Amino acid sequence: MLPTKNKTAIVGVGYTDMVRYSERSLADTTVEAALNAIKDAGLTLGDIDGYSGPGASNNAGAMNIEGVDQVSATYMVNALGLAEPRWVSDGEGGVGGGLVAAARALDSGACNYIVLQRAMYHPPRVRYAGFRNPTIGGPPQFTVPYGIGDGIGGGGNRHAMWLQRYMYDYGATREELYAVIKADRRHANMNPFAYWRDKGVTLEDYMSTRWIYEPISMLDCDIPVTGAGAVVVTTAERARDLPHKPAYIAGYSQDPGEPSSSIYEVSDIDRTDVQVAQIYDGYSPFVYYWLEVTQFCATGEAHSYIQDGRIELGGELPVNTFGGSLGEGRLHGFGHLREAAIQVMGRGGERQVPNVENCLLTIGPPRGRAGERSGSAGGGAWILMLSTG
Amino acid sequence: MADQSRPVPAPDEVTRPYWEAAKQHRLMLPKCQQCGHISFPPKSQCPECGSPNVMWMEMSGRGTVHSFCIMHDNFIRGFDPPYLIAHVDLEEQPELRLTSNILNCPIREVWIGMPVEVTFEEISDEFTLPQFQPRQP
Repeated sequence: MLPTKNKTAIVGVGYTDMVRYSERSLADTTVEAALNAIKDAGLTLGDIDGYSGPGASNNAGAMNIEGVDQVSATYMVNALGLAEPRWVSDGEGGVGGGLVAAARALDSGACNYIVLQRAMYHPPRVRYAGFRNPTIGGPPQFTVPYGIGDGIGGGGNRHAMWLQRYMYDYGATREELYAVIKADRRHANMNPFAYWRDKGVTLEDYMSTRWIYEPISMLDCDIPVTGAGAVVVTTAERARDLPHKPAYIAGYSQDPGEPSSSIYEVSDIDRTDVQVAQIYDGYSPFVYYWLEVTQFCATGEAHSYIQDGRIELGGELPVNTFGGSLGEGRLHGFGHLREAAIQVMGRGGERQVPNVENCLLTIGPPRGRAGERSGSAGGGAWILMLSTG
Repeated sequence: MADQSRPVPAPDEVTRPYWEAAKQHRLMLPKCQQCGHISFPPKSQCPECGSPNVMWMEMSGRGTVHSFCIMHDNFIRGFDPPYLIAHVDLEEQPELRLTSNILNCPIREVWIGMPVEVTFEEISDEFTLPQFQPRQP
């Protein structure tokens, strides 16, 4: 069991709307989310002495201009006006890794209250994906010259090939994958920030939508948006004085790449004591991978497991109760983190799962083959367990 | 010759022999002289046993389609959708997996398990890509 289980907690959340073709600078959006979270936590800006930031824009076509389409931690510390930051991190390891690093900083006494953020940008005029460099080095020199977007935007090819093979190996069909989209859209209807709120998708819509990386269709991809999220993280002792029921960090583990009980061992929580899960769904087939890796079903069975409403609110294991990336918009897993905290805090309103004690959270795409790691900001994907303690 | 606006590799000292061999229409990869593991992408040190004693060897060129997808958007310059991208497993070692477009085959006729053999495609004056095409088993 993790020695620091339940010693740190999320105590406040903040969010912005998810919009496309944003004319507003990313800095503005990100500051708004941070201030919302700080206020939600019952704190003031002066209390905040730690910051973990979103890192650089990683989509091809990014201009990488600070404040406009990306916001580094250093930039945000200044933009927010943090007086005396004692711990500042650029969110290495993506959203999951960022939360783990924040927890460890608090464990070590580096600082008292950390704001952790993710911000994504959808520009008004520049095409989001679209690689136009004439030469490509590093490992992508073996893939990009074949028209594959690995790691540089438009990178769904690898996941499409994974899905193609999965369907071949296990007899899964495209119709079955619709259950992911159906659940996400239904849950998005209850999420005021969701881009796709009140825009349902029928099975017919799904089966006739256009291909992007066949067999991944447009409806299997999350939509790029401008939006930001923030959480405030602190120690369990400090959490006790704050307004909301804390969402404790019970444990975390990196993507094991195969079915594993690691997250349950580390958090000392049985899988059967998990009432809800937020599963990264940047591309819909990720849900198959994560449900199998976290052992909610055996390898090759996730396509059956998700049928008949099992992963919808009211079902055996509600998944992505806020709509997921597919229902809300592409925020690289921050929506999943926020919702995990909301569910454990008991603040889900009409989408609150009854009697939540533990929420499983998986953030990031599946590990690549043969030990290669994948992850939008370095490191691997993370599995986390949030708990009422 | 393929569309000249396609991206080309930027080799480094470890990967350069791969591209030089490809220009000569040879598919070569580093094989560890200690444990026999073949690395792809090429590495100067064996990723399995750590030995620096690796030697570039020519592959048979025979492989099998492990998976594929069909690309319908033009995210990468110089490619004209719809086009096919495949993962091909070489016969020399499990999961020795290369990317290819599968040439000389209509995209709807590619299937998982299809036997293929290496061929080569010039994409610029300087660079030739190893590719794969259908093979009689």
